Amino acid sequence: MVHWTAEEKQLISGLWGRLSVEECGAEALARLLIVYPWTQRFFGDFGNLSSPTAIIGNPKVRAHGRKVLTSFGEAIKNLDNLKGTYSQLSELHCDKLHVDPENFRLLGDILVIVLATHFTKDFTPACQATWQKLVGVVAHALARKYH
Amino acid sequence: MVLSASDKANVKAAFGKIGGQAEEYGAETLERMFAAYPQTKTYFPHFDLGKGSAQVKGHGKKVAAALVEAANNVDDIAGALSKLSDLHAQKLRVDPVNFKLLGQCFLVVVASRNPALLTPEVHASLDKFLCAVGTVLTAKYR
Repeated sequence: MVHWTAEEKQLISGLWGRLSVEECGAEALARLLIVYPWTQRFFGDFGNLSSPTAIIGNPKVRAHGRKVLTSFGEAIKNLDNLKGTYSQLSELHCDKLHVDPENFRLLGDILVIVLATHFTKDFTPACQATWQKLVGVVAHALARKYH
Repeated sequence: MVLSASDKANVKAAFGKIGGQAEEYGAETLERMFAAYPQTKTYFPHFDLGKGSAQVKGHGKKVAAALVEAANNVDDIAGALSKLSDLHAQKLRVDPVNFKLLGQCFLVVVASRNPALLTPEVHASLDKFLCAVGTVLTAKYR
């Protein structure tokens, strides 16, 4: 089980309380599709992904980004039981969505960068370290049920 | 992976904007890397890694200078970093995974200090550039 210090929990919830899940989620997913274009392979039915502008403005990207980050919110509410929280989602990503877990790591790193652009100097090294740990643990939990 | 003309232009412009602050960016990149990825500290047992360390600042300056050099010679990164590539292969032998970690931290520094600079397009170009630098530095490993 992952151990979270009081400081880490504070760094997580403090930031989470100040961000727009809709904005950050949309931006994180858009950047994933732009920076690592091969990730578009999972979104064939999303319509126009032909340019960064198209991706950023794409309503399906925005909606899905929001959905993904909302799920992150669940993780944050259940930091002491991430495995349980993500058990079904893990099975889904393996059995139905067929997503290589490496993509969870890529999205996690992108999310950290998005947080850095939003929180600038408040996104201290300690804050980044905590969030890198969180995204790593979420990625691990999502990959756990793969077979 | 190949840097397109627009990637190269984005990289040059980004480093142009970072300008004289490159040294600070370098130092903060290392500070963040040691905090977020403690295993990277294993390459610096001889350093004081405490906050404000002069050694970290000095090393950050070196790292930044290399990135600036690569950006200024973006058409021939391998040529520009050839000696550094030899050094990493023969002496330093930093495991290749660590270049990604450094790259991630550099992007976070740019993102937090200059968010307007890191548009999605520039983010993509810089990410590719940092991958290319890592590839060059590990190219002669075996």
